[in-house]
Amino acid sequence: MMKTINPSVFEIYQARPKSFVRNIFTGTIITFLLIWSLDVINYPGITESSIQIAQNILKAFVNPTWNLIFSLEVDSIPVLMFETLGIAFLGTLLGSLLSLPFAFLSSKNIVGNFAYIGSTIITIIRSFPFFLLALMFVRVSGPGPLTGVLTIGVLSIGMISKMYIEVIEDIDPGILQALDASGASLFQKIRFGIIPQLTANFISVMIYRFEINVKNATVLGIVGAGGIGFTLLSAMSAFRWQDASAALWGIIIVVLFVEYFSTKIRKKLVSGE
Amino acid sequence: MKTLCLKISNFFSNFREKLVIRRTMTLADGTEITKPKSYTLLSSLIILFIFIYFWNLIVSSFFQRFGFQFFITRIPNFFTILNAMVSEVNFSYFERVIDPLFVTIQISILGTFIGTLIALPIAFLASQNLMKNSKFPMMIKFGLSVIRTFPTLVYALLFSFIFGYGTFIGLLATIIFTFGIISKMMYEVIETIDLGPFIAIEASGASKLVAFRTSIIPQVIGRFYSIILYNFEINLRASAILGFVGAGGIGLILNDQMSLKEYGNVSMIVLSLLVVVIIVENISRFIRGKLS
Amino acid sequence: MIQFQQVSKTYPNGVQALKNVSLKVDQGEFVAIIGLSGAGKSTLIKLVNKMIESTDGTLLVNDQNVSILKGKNLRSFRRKIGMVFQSFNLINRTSVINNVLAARAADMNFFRTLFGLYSKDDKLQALESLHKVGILEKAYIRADQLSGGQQQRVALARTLSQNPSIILADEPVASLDPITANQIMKDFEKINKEENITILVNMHHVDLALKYANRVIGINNGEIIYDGPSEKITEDLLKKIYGRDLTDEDIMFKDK
Repeated sequence: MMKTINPSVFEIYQARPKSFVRNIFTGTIITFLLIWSLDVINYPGITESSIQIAQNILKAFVNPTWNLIFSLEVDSIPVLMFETLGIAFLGTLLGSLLSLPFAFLSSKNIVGNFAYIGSTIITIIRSFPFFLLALMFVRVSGPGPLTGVLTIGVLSIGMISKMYIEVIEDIDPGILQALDASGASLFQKIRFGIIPQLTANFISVMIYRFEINVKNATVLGIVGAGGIGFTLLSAMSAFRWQDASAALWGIIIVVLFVEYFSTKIRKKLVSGE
Repeated sequence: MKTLCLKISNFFSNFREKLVIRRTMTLADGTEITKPKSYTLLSSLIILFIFIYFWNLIVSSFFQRFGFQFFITRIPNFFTILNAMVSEVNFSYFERVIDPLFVTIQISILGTFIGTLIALPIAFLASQNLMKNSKFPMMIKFGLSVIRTFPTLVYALLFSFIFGYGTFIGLLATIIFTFGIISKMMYEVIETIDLGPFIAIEASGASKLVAFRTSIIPQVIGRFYSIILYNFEINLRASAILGFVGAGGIGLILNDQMSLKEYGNVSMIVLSLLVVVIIVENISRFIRGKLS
Repeated sequence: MIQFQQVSKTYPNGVQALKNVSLKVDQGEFVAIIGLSGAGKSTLIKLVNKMIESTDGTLLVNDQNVSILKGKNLRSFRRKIGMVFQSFNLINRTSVINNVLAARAADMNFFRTLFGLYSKDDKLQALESLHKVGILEKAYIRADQLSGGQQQRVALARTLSQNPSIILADEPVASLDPITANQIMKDFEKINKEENITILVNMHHVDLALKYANRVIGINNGEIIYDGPSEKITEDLLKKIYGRDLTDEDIMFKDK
């Protein structure tokens, strides 16, 4: 459409900001990283057996070993899931407890610059591969749920501390000033000024972490740290797909329940008591 | 099934009502104030009860079987290993770490990228405020919850039986996991934004898709980048473990060296991973700072 | 051309916003709709581009029966109708020119839109629209950094870039101060005269409505009380439309 362009319009067009360079730069880096990573797609191809296995798995998924799901024997799914829940529960509690000192000592508004040391330690703990941790604890408490508790406990320190720090650094100092003005002692300031601000959020963090830990706990069994992971692994290794699918269903149902209640409770915490 | 759940929740609410404390106070001039329901006592009791149950189940039974003394004597094991790791760091082992380390990073990069790509349209379809009268959001959100119940490792395990060992299954597992989480985070963001401009662009005759691209993406893209970077960090840590089921990366050599009790090598691996994580964290913080 | 024939709208909650409304607007008219909040002004305007659907009656816009429009047809129909909102509804985090381009995106190559790579032509046309409303120099500034009046101008430019035959405005100046409001109404007037675009505005400031529109429609409780030239409106009629005496809220320039 050949319309004559108004000269002042053209001027502005010429003067437009050209974010070209920055975009090309970012785009190139990302493309480079992606192409470099393509190496990792070495598609092994689908063989006869893999299709067979996939079909078996799918069939098993809709037809799990109902006995395992509905019984209450030692090796049944409900029992194992309870164990898994227990591991997650105790582990989260342990982790929360251990995180308290870490978090307080790494919050800028409490210890100032010393906080950097603390947060580095926390990062180190967080990047510690958690299977390694589990293997190390197996040397202490053998294969079994207690190992799971210890592993999750220490593992959670990383994430929980980080979130605690966010809460702590969010404390409104205004309340402390008000308490000061009314002549409160240090203890009273902590008790009435700081703790109320923290409790609701700390509990919210714990519940959130519990949710994640349930998922982690299901997996720990693969290393032998108790819970349903071991059953899953052994069932799969022996190609007992229906047993494996029962385990998976157990996980799905429990995790969905936990997620549902966790979200509900956390919402309530945030809005009221 | 639904009625069963309803019955259970009704039972609990009735039970709850009875245990909840309601205090009504009468003031000097006769007005009554009722303190709102306090759940603290009830919830603390529940937590205590649960705690005792699980403690019994797991901890006490362990002590009963093996004895507390035994446990105490074994605790040093943990620290000896830790000590060995810290003191015998074997730097020359790094040569053997580099390749698997790169694989771990590659899986994370590609997995996060592809997972995000698939997540975006799904997040669009799952947003209640964009898909007003459709059933999609509910179904998709439920589907995503189910997908999210399994950590990456479970998917990797599953795939190892279908596709065999190799980085491919690690990648696939990461993609699925990323997809599950990022979709959720994205639709949560989309559902909280201002729809005004979206309505305006729709009113100008654009399709929902075009309106989404022009009016919603600019509002959310900052937060999306944050979400993607955050997930990349999670995937990095998760990929490190994938090797355990043969899905590539440093997990495999980690497991091997651990079984061989070569703690010096183990700590080298952990150290390398740590360095990568710290670098990525700092880059990510830098980028996130620039985005806001 | 807009033609309402016995159009009614009852909302799902039972509220009957419009009752058997009939009216006809020819191309190039400048019509203001006045009345109390909740009288049905907004409903009337939103029916024209099918933001809402009528529950009864026939609505013809540009010779098309609005109620049968769907999907692609509805979208091409809406291309020709611009809409301006009280809260501007600009895309805040992006530049002014991107806002204008967004409204034209429906006509443009989808892949260009996807990557935000508009052609030189597209950009120049967007700039032209901005020039027409006098804010060309703000083209590359982020939309939320502009004042209210400037933002509404961007919204106006946005509709102009569609080359519409009708512009609908739902309380366009309610969020603006008197002087800016006056300017925006002047912009509407200019667009109406120069481009022969039909303007259908609804507003609750009576004095502005009477000053700029040459035809006024007064609605009370879903029914048209008055439909005629603005010169012929009387105090009594205004009382009927509002169901009460006019208050300060209904007047923009209070010193009259």
